[in-house]
Amino acid sequence: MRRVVITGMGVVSPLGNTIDAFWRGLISGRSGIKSLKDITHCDLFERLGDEFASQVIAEVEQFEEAQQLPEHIRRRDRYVQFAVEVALQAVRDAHLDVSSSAIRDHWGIAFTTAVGAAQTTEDTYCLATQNGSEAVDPAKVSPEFYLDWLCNSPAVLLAQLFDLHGPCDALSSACASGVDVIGYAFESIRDGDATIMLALSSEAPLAPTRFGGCDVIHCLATGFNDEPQRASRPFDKNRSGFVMGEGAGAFLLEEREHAIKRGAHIYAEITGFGLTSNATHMVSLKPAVAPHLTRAIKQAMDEAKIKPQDIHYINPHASSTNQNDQTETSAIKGALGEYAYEVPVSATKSEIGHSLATASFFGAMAAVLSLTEGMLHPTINYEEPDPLCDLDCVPNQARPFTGTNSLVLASGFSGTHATLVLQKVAG
Amino acid sequence: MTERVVAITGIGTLTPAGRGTEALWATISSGRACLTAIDPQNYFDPSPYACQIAGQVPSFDEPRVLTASMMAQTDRCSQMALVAALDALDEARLPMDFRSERSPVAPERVSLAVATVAAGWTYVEREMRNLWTKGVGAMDRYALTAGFPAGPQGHVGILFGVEGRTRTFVSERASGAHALIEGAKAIQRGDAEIVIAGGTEAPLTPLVWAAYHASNMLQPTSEGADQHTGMFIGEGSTFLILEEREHAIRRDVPILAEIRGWSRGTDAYPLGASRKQPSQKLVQIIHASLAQAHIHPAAVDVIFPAGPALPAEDVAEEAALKCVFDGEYPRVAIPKAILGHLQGAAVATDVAIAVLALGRQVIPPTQDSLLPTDLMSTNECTASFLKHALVLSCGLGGMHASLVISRPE
Repeated sequence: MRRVVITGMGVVSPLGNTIDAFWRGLISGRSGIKSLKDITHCDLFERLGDEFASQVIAEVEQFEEAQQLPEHIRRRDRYVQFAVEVALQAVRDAHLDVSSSAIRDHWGIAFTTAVGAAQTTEDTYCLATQNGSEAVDPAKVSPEFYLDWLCNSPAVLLAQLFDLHGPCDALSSACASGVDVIGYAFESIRDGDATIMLALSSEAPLAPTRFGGCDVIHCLATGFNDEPQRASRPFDKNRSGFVMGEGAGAFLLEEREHAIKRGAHIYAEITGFGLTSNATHMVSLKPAVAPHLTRAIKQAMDEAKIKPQDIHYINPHASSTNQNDQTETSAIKGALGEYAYEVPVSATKSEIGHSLATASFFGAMAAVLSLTEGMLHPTINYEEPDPLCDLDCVPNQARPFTGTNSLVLASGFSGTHATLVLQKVAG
Repeated sequence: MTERVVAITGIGTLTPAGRGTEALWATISSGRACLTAIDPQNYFDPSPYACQIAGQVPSFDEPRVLTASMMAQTDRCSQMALVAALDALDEARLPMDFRSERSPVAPERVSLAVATVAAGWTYVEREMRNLWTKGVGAMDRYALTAGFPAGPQGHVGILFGVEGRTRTFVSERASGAHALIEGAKAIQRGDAEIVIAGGTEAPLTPLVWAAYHASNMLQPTSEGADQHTGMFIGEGSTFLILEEREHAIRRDVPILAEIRGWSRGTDAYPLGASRKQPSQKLVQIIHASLAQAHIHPAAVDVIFPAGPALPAEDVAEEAALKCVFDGEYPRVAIPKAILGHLQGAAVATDVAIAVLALGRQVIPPTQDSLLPTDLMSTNECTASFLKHALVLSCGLGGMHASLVISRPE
């Protein structure tokens, strides 16, 4: 059986645009949440912003790295730029010899986004229709708009940038697809479709229609509009919804022997993956769906050949919605039994909000960094316990960690659940 | 352990040819294109656009899946997908809910793979208009889930009780192949006994049409069909039931065809640049898919090429086919010249037509005037037994995929 390891990482996040800044921010318990009024990258909210019930967001600050991107990438939507930046970081981090045709022949991409280019599509719509008041005037649409509108253009542009010849696949299975895309890339290597896979997720959904689409179904946080940094509070009794965020993450995944042979630094090994559907509801995560998440956890544990007692940390979906956090708690207990109470479960979204598909990719990165850095980041804003969310959520303070296996969970609209087991590298 | 083989046991299709395989076959074998002026009543006024024709799906209804509530919460892309998937389940003699007692398979052993490019943009545009002209209060509660790419996946999976793996592929015109390869791999690896795999596309909405228009990918209506300066696009949905062969045999359902080989790979090129060289990766993946099917190029009876699509891509594809088939290339079938390029639904539709051709032992004709190149010309009808079809696809930026569809033993 071919084994798969992580040899490179890249990140663009509300806590910073390097792995180091991302991790330092998480460990220090910093919140990357702010008021919607303070958004800097999208002026479409100027007219409509006040109308939304939720007034909090997690924005990527000072994306100065964009200045270094190739000119034809800088012209593209924010989500494309994020994706290319994290990919370049991950490839650099892996010290991959990109000039080697032997490497490029067996190198593929698996990309995901839940909604793609939110800002450029809405900007273009408003321009082409005079803010919706007229029919679309095609003369006002840019020749390159097609590349922004597509949900796979980052994959295509990266394939061209690196001149790679393996698969170039793009998935868009809503919010669980940040973990799903890692599992997909993992299986592509395991099944022999590629030796190296760049797995990445990018999301920049902060534009009125996508934000409004979540706001009108009451899944966004409304309880702390005046104190944005307290708004994302997974497992806390006063949570009121998720805080929409943005960002991108990338892993360079590599067949283990290949990585060892070229002397690559290995962050962690992917040993298990699970993917299930609850086939219940497009958006609701009522407690009845818990067994389907439990099933996904068991799939990943079975593949990794580990028992509940071998899981030392869980990075949960923990979106800070009432339903998710309860249901997820019960699903974890379903898979781990009484042992669930002994496993730390810290919520990355408490600090950086919910960047749709990228959110669970951030969770996977936090889980890898926990293994390599020997620390667990906290769940911040944990003030009042919810008896239905009674696991150890690492409240408010980071703590040292010496575990071997981390479990990452993701749930999404359209009823999907994805899980991943990451294993520390021995020695 | 014996190798798990991927059988096709059901086809559901809703395209500009109409609903069902009989309608599809009748239109395809007539050889007449069904590309017509975009109907302003159903879609939008096409007059500001250079390309004003498209393949349009005749009106359809299906009370078993398209209830008033379902219609209210879904985009046309999900509605077509629900009908196509239902018809595929019917043909495969499967229930419309895998959670029911009469299901021959546990719901967690069923998977779903959906391909789409535009997803629910008709719905998104309507919501954008509501938001910008009437305010946030006018937005619909289904604005996000009807419009985003995972919409059809959720609507189909939830209604039919698919509890295994569900995924949506958005790899532009290669997405259909990626969805079928996902399904085939799931059967082969033992992740599922049954996979509902296919694609759906509803691109006839003003902003999406403007995106295609502005990128010069569509052929202007003022130019003759024989000039081939761009793509013609159609809407529609086709889903296949992929099933592990022994499972199908135990259920005693007819096996329509098998997916014996598949491969995918990339020959990236700068977007917007024309490329006329044969793609070496395309040559490699065709060989890889044939090797997996244990056949030589000479055994291929009919090719369904990725084109006609963008003219430069077609030239490169033709050159690659000449490399593989070394002068003696098989006959070519080009449903895209008749239906339009159905984007995310194109590959599943081509595979459906390949299955019908292998079953009926007839290669559908295509009018020469609709064919873009010499290679594409249909040869004299040969009497040889049709056994293997090669279905190719290519997405913008050089994503190639190849599928081998074979008659069952």
